[in-house]
Amino acid sequence: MAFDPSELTAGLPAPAGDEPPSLRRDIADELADHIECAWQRESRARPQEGFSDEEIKRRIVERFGMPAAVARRLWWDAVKEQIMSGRITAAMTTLAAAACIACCVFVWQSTRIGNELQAALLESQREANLAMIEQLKAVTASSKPTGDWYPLRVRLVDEQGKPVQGKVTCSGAGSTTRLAFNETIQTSAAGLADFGLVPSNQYTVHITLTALSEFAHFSTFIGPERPAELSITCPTSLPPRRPIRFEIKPPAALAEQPFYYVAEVIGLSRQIAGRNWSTNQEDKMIFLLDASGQILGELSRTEVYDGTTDSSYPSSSSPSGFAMRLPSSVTLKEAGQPRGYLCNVRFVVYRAHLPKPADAPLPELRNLNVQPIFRTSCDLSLSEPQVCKLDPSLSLWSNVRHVLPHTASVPYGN
Amino acid sequence: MEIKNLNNTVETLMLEAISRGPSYGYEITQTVLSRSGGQFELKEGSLYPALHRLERQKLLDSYWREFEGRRRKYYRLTPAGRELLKERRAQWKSFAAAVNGVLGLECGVALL
Repeated sequence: MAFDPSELTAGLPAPAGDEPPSLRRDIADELADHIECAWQRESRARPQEGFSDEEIKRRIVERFGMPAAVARRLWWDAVKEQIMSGRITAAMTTLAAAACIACCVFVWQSTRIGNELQAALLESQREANLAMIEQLKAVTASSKPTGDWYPLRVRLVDEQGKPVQGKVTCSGAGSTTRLAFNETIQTSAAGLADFGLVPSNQYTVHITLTALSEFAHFSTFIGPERPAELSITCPTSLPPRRPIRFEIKPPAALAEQPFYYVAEVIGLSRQIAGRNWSTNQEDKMIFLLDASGQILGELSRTEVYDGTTDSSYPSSSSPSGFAMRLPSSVTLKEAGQPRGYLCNVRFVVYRAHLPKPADAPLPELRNLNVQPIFRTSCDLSLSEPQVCKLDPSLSLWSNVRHVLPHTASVPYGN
Repeated sequence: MEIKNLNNTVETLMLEAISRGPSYGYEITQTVLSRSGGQFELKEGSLYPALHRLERQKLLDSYWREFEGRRRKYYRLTPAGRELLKERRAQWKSFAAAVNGVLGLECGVALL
């Protein structure tokens, strides 16, 4: 044999992992067969030339080329697609893996940085919140002002220091929104209404005790060197009712006049720990009195104030210039006793056009048709039983005399 | 037919040499040499790469036989190789007619 087949593939690279197992042998066998054929042909075709084996071999190689080089090319052609494909696949896999790793690293870094930023932000917010809480705690605990803001707290107590329930309204007047403060707070179980920090200013404090229908208001300044808490002593129960009597003695010249009197007990108030407490005006009482001051009964507020006004009525000294006319029919109810407040009793003198017959039904007064003459008032403390008097020396009577000629006279009962 | 397709001429000669029956590398060179009147002597260094390329392109397939104690690889046309050879023949006829026309060796263009 001209060439050993194993020599043809001896110079090939080490087998690749995916190389077909018979590839090298096939290449070697095919080339060896070709060379053998060529050898035999050269030997047979030109025996007369007497070429030596070496010369024949040289001629074959000259025409064929180096068999090992041809074998290497065939091997490369056979495996390059697989090798290149494998290398490309490996490269792409490597690239993809690198890209995935890079993405993971990027995502991880982004997440880590984001988490760190978020944690830092939360930490700074937490520190700021803690500082704010500490500041508020310090302000609350010490009741010391912060800047020009000061705590405003109102505590309602009774005379024994026990908490009282009520509504507290604080309002601060000012030209700016900052000063124009107005807020209403229902006191806590401890009787405390805490308005927090308010600007230094003059404030009006209005306290309403719903259970008693009483209220008080006062003005106070909130600012430096002022107590952080205002303690207000409040009433806890209504004052007891007290009997009231009226004694009316007109001058002799007016003694025979058919006068009636309406006495309104108004302006009810009382002093608690030096502070004035007023009661709701709806609670006032209105009595109808006869000429001697005897209580005939109690009028409803509606009947008195729904009467017509008489602006043409002559008045020489009344600042109001008008007086109310009672309705032509009023219904009296049994008179009660007013509560023991400080009060003002306002009298209005009415003149019936004819004296009431002795048997006229009461308490219902029909066609009373009385006209107001004048009015006066007196202050009265009902903390004790009182007698409210209109004596002849009052200037009221001279005014009555002045306007009396202008009143008409209509028989009673018409 | 474009001039660049002349590069396929060697492949066409090889396909033609195999078209008459299975053949092996050395025999193919001898067939081409004899049928060309000794004009075309295929260099073995380019013969086998071409044969292997045609085999990878599924235009040839191969099998092995024992001959005088050694293995010999035979090639034969696949249906795709046979179809390609048919196309190449037609192209060559057209090309040769065109060249002959230019050279004044024949009149007109050969009919396919």
